[in-house]
Amino acid sequence: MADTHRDAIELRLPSELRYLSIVDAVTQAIVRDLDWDADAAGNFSTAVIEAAANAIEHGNGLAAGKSVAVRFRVHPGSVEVDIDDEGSGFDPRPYERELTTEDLLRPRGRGIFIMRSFMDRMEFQRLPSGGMRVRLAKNVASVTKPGGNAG
Amino acid sequence: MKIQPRQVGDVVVLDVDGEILGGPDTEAFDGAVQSALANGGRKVLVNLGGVHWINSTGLGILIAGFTAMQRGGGSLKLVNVSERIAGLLAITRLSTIFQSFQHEDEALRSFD
Repeated sequence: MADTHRDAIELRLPSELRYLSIVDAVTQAIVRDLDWDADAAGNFSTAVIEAAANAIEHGNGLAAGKSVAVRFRVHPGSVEVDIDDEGSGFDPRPYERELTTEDLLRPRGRGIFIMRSFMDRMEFQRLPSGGMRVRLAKNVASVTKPGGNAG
Repeated sequence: MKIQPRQVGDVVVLDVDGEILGGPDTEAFDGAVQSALANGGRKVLVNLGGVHWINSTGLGILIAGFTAMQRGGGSLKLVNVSERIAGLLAITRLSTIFQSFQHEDEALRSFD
């Protein structure tokens, strides 16, 4: 039977890219506990890392003294992650498009596409503080190993 | 990220260890590619055996290296790509740009 009572897990990181490995380690530990297959776990973590990297680099501008919050919530049918920055927000609409052939050799501009590709839901919210929240969610049914615990 | 070049015949192999994320990684990787070009190298093989995952900025770093080699009349290929990175290359269609190999000897022969 699915356990409906789950704790939220929250990380608060300085705005330094080197701490993304901690995000990966925690993300992988959470979804391993849910018995996700390795590919799904890797893709999920890749999407979370993208959001965290954007928050660190673009949201907070790598500023010392600004932090990024990564909050995981495990629900019976899905895993949800909020990534909050302390920046001044941005308009995600120009980035919410399919990649074209012309985009292939561009060095930037594929982070939001990656998040959308690996997640079932992606939302952007402006926070009262002015920063940005990216909410990512993945439905559990599609990612567990056969015979595993769906969480 | 640490990057260590070595020479195998006329191929410069760049052994990368640690995740490619951006920031100082950009200068380090670009420096290694430019150094290869400056020394007359036209074949670069990036060994990602020590890289478990990469973000989109890291992909951009690889792309910049690829285009730098192309502009210099050379080529850049990948070897020992993890399944996670291979999945990312596929979803972004960069698997149509980068030639990837599972074994170094096969990768080295492909430059001939």
